[in-house]
Amino acid sequence: MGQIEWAMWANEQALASGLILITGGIVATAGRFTQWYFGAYSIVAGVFVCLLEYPRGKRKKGSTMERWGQKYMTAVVKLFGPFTRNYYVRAVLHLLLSVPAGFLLATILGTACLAIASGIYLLSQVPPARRGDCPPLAVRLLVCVRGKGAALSVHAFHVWKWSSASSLTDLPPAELSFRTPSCCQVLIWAVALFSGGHPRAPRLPAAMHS
Amino acid sequence: MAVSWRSWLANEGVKHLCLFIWLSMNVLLFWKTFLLYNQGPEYHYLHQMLGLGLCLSRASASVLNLNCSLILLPMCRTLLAYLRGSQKVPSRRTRRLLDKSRTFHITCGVTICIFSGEKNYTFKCKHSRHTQNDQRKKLLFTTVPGLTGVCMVVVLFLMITASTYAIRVSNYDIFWYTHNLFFVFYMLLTLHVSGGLLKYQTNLDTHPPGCISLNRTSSQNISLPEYFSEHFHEPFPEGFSKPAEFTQHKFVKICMEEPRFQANFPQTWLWISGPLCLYCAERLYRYIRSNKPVTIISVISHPSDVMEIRMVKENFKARPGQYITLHCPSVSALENHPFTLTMCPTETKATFGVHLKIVGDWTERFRDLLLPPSSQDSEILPFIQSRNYPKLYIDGPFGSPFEESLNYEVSLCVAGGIGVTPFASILNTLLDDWKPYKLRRLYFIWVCRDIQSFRWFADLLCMLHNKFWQENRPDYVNIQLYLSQTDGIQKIIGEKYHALNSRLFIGRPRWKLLFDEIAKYNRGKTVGVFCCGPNSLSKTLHKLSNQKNSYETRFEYNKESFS
Repeated sequence: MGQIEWAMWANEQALASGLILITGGIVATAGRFTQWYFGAYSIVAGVFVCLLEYPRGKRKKGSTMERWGQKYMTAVVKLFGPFTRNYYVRAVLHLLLSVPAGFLLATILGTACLAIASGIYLLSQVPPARRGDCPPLAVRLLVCVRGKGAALSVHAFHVWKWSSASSLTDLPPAELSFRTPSCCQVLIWAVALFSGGHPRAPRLPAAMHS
Repeated sequence: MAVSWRSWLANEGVKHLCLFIWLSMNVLLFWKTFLLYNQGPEYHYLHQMLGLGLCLSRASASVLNLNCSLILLPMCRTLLAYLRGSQKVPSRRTRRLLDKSRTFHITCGVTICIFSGEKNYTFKCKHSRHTQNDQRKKLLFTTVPGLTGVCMVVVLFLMITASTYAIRVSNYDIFWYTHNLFFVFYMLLTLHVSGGLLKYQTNLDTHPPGCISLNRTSSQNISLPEYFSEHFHEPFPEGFSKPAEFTQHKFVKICMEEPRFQANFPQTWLWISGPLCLYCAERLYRYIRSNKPVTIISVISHPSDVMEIRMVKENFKARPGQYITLHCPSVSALENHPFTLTMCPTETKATFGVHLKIVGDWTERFRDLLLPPSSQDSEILPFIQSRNYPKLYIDGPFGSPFEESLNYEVSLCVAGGIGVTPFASILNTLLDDWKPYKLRRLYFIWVCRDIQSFRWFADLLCMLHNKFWQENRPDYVNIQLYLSQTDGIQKIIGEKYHALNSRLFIGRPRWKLLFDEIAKYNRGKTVGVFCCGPNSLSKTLHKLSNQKNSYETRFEYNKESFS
């Protein structure tokens, strides 16, 4: 699958979840639902998540597209040190924040979305890495899938290599392998069978490709 | 500089008109459905029960129906390529609309996202009026429409968050793999509408809404509470059982029988079945077509990390400007990568080819398989190694706006770096035979950072130049090569390329002067502008194409949207 930066996707998801929480909270509070106080909590939690996730993390390779005005928020996020830089902490924090919103129907979608973002942050942390200097850095996960043409037999994944976050984090590159569950393999094969289409290279002419 | 309205209309007019038509369809559908549920007699009781939330929710659903059906159509690439090339779409203006297919797809996607969110919240609002939180959760998670609705929103969330511009630019894989969840979305949508939760009244003639029953007492409201208790576990609201309300009316309608309700037929099935079947048929056709591997004839290594692959495939036909996707299972089982054809098969020669720039892990691994490290410096691979080539599958060809360059009388083709590949196939076609096409003058501008890059097609350019000189058409192709960055050491491409060396300029092109010159020498004509390169270059040319010039020359800008 090449080099995928999961943390970047988790960041987008968490930001979207924050907005969903705010919207759900407004609907619940303005609509005077029963247990509307969960709606008020949802608004506060949503605002907090949005502010925390607004600065986009720096990519290891290639240029990072910063969000407009993110440098101001980066300065604030930096103040909290490892509590905001570490992705494990973020994953746990998002999971905890999402739980109370699950008690109200209007905000349950925000719960689900934030929980998914938390899961993706956790996925991006295998092996564990922490962010270096703000803007934060992402871990690279290199996965090579060995398929055998049209064979539908289940094979195990092998993670070929990991790359560390960056030279700023002082973490050496680590060799690690693990077996992913077979349901992931089946999902990948389903995608392989179905994705007979093609991705287009972003911002590049069709002949220039990675 | 003033905008030329003629040029603006030619470049942007049809696109904006289509957008306006699409917007009108959405607004009309939304309004019509809103009125139906707000005022329609068959939904009278339902409206009384659920209020404004029902109308908004159903109106959103109808807009979603339209967009879920339209969003698939721009993705039928083979069909679009066929429409581009066939005589059935004779107008160039209509063909240029096909260039905007990706933009239209994104517009429909954003609309689906917005209206799904609105439907989600109005659903919660409409049911909050009469049910408790726990009952609503039970409704959400234990009914088919409820559960499928939740799953669809989650799938949409995953797809949308992975489809942002930043993710597409940096991690295209995440976008591609999550976007394939659309199939799950459509399956859930098919199940979602089969629940039949909302019903309409069938016997309006015998029970007009708001009528009174002569035998009815306040304790005998049996039919409506039955309907309520079946779905919402609550007693019937008291609003209807007061006979005093109706004494003010001149005519009082008498109920002949109790109201009867029936679930709506799932209209969504009618909306999405056509495009979904069309899309599935196209994917099946593409799968069958791409199942046979190609035969690699030769692999050539070019300077500046470019590799050329020449291959043949039975019954493969392509027009200049089209692109194909390569799939090499030995490199990656899942990835397909698009490359523009630099050489198309002709009637006399079945070989076609692509030029690949080695920039990422897939192309690096592909090069290592095709060109062993020892021979990567040499130009042409010895024939003896051909039996070790990995299996390669291609899908396509698919259309692109560059095909139109042969249909203008005058074309301006601007290439940035490896973006020269679509124009290379055009030049190869002109080298073969230029007379069948409408094109009579081609301005070819190629901007590169490294002087060695020009050697990718230096032979082709020289051959083309010589051919037109021999045929006494020296003004057919006007070549200008620009070296945007120079170390000052090497100023010529190669000694044998006299024609190109005299047309090589150091520095970036001055586009305004160039456009003025082209306008002056082609007065009153329509010039097709084609650009394949960085976004900044594309924006500059687009802006210049819309500007006024004093020679009445119109510049039509053609661009494909990447990401």
